[in-house]
Amino acid sequence: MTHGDVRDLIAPYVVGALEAPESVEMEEHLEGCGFCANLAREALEVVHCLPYVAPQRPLPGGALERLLTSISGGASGIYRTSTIAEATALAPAAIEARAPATERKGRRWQTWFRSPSLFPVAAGFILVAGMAAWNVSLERELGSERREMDVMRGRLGQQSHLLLMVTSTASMARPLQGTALAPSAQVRLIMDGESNSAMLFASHLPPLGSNQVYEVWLGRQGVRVPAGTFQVDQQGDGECSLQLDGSIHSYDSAWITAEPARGGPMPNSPGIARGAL
Amino acid sequence: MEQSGRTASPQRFQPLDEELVRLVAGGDSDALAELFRRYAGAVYSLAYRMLNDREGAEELLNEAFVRVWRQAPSFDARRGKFSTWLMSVARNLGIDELRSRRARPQRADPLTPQDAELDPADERVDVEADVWNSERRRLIREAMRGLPAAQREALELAYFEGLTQSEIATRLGDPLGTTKTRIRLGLQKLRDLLLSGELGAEIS
Repeated sequence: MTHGDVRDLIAPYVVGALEAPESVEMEEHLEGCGFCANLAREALEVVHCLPYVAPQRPLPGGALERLLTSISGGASGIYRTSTIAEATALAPAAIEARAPATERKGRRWQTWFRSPSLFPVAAGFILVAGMAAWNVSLERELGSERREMDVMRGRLGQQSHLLLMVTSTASMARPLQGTALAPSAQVRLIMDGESNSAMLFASHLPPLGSNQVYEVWLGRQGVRVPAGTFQVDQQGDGECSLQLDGSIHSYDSAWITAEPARGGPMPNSPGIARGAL
Repeated sequence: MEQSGRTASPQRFQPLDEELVRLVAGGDSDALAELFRRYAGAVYSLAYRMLNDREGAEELLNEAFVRVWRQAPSFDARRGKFSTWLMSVARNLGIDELRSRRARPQRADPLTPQDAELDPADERVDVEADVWNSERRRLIREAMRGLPAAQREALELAYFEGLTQSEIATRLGDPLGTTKTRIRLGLQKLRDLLLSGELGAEIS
């Protein structure tokens, strides 16, 4: 497959329209050709936007509850076994549910009054239900504490990493210039070739909206990739540990944009600061 | 400073997707529920667009997040965003289901092209409260509308229905070369429209 063939086939490849043999050939070429791989990556960025072409549909009710049932019970719909509805239909309770509602209700009350062991059973049921509820409450509390511990551990790890970076002899700093949107912004990127990591420190950035973050983008041969997000305090100060795909030295530029908190594969707003690396 | 790079803000702290995925990998179902709240709407809409039926879309939505639950430990944030990964999972499930349906006896024309979905009237179904998501969706759909109809149709058949370029050519009654060109030009023009508009105005 020549470069020309590849360039013609990149678009059908990234939208998944190539036949299997062509796809294999394409992948083999891309593995060994950085130039074509970059073209494919650029095209893929556009493909990542295509899901949002689908018209929005309101979510069906109970979807989250169904998911939580699936992960606790192991069943996950037609893609593994059968649908949840089908599974339920096989259960005795569901067969019971097919009887007329009034008939079911009458039978249930008759059973209640006929049972000599009504009160001990009811008391036992209440006790078990109470214990279960207490257990769930404790689990939730534990989960919340575990999350807080994870966040703290993450902070500690990042602080240690920062210390290593600034004391490394292989580290260097690059300034990013604020654009017209943030003329007083002061932004510095610290890059450490030894650990192949980078951190960004910013001050005097404009305040963000309630559902926004600042996003850092790194550029490599004309292709930009998202590298991390951060928020700023009241002074406009913030920092970010960058996620790198490949060597830090392979990037040639960096930008910051203000983005909605959910982010995406492409920047949605003009640059706040930028610079060459 | 937090691990994700987002500075703490007591009033509006929201964990990043990648943090939530890490918690999901540790078995935290609350974190999974949060990811579901963020992305279920987009996944369901994609599934509905691909399968064209509510029950199938619900199944796909559920399965996509079950896979997030199971595969979270293998998620690598350095290779891409969670949302991109999730949408790829959902799309692959959709394509598998479509292929499986094609292999089964079908009612007549179950995959009727939904040209009307790009009409403005379709915005009635836009009920999601998230303003940004809606705005972003609007911009992307606007860019898509900027494509010539034939290019848009070829791209949609490939992406949403999982057809190969040969199958698209057969479906539309066009020569294979024409279909290849439409896909290539369509994607190139869509990229230009996205970059020249409000999406990515200054960065290219």
